Amino acid sequence: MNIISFLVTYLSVAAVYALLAISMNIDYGWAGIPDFGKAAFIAAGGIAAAIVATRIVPPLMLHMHPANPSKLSFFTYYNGKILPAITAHPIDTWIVFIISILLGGIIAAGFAVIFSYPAIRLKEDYLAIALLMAAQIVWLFLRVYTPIMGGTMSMTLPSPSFKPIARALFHSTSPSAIDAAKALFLWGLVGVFLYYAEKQMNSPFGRMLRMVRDDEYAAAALGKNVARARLESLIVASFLAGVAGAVYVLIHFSSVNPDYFMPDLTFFVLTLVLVGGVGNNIGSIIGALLIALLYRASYIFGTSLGFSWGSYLYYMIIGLAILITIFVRPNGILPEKPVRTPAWDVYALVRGKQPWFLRRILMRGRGKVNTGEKSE
Amino acid sequence: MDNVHKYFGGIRAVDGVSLKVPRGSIVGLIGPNGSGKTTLFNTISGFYKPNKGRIMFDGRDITGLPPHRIYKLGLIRTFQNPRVWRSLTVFENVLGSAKDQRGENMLLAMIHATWASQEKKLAKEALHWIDFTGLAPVDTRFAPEISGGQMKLLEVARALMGSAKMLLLDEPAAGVNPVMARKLFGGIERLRSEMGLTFLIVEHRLEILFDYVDYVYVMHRGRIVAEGKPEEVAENPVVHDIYLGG
Repeated sequence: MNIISFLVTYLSVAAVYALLAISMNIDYGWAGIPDFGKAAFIAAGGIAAAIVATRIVPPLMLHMHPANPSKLSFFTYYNGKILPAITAHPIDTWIVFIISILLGGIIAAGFAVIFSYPAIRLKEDYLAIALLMAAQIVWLFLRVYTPIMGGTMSMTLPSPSFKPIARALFHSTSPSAIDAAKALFLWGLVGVFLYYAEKQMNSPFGRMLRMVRDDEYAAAALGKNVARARLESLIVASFLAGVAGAVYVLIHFSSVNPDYFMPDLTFFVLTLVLVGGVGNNIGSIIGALLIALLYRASYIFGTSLGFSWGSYLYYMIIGLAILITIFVRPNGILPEKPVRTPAWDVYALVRGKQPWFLRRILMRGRGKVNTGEKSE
Repeated sequence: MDNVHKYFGGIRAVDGVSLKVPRGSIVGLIGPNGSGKTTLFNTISGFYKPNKGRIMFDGRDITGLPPHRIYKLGLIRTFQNPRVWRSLTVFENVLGSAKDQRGENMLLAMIHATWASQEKKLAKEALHWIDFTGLAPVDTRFAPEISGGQMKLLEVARALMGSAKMLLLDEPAAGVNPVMARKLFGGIERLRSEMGLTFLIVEHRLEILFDYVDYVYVMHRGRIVAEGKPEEVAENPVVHDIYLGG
């Protein structure tokens, strides 16, 4: 394996992780919800996208009968007829992709409402357990109930074709050019997620979520509807999780299998956020870049060792990364910043000075710059 | 504000308390530890639902309403141990307490134009209340970095930002030095005379409290055992008995 192809694959993987991390950062980081059911919301988006991309959109586009015209099973019919027909046209795969990710997001957001409606009124630990259970139920249900996605049999999906992009950008359709185009596209998507998350959270809404996280009693006493704020943050985060889940199956794996959504996916994504910086969207991306590198490198290194446990080395490495983060930088690589709204412009105007953290953003927690001296 | 009535079953932390706080008055609520004052506050502000009884505010029945609805009506409480939002600065703590912020809507938050002008107006108001409470020197500090007394002031500033009509203050002067405590009560009196706000204040420091309140209720074991003007209550033998354990 040469270094370029390692780098390109690594960047694609890191981009997918970054999408998941940004979503986790909204409900866990900003609203403080211990969303241990993240895997369920990613699964809801991923499975919904897979259903849309196999059973709904392609038959409609190809004017094929969605049900079973011959006596073949759906999966045989799909693999033999629908999949080759839809992947023959790059544009068609993109239409399928765009419809799938949007519906995936919407359905995951709907799932968030259903699962959290009873759970949201619980206190932290119970909420975490309820959501963890949701992830477990979704995963087991998908495994056992074969009519949805064929159970544990993987199903190949019409993933969007990057050939036209590679041809336009690199004048080549070699596999490495296609991979590079894919990585670029995924990072573009990370950019969209980041823009959305920053814009959504640097607002009174984001501030309200932090109030609920920091002290829900004070938030309730000062007019915030705590249950509703939590629900809304779960909806926003699960919409992103659903879109990320759709990208995860359609681009990352190009196939779907319930085991992509095992409940421990949640904790992997949580690690990205913890290491990168809880409550900081850019931190989540940095966490994804770092952990993806550790993961890939230790996996490749571990399997090359030749021990039976070598391929599990990455569990230890990632565990070590969490411990080091907690001891050395408990707030993560990039700690949380104050919520930025136009109110700070008014502040600067009235007081005639910028608040200290807008001047030295990265310095919070270390050599603090204090503008005010203690009265009393 | 007409009539605040409440009865309570169960553990009888508040066992049939009736009290009245007229509009524009400063009323004190005193009593030894564990007499049910804070439970009463939690019940009025919607954190607990009363088992029995009725709570009226501004001619409306607010019994059993959730805290955020009671806040909207203008009845705002502070906490005995200040509860500040630790990841927000003092300025944001005050600003975020404002009522009806458009940008708190999940969908509108994305469209900055819909709330930016309101946010700027509220920011000016927040700075006004920060100046009023004397928190200006620390307004860009994160809330946990300020002193305990300043946190008490911050809680008052937040309630004022929420356009309170009536404030329930739970031990505003506890842990605050006497000079500052008198300044705080002076501020309360100013708010009452300038804006017509109403106050119900739980306080242990009677020597300060009695100089500022119009009327005092004394609670003991979940019941009101004495009431009256401060000078009457100070003379009341029942109150002496409770406080001296007689």
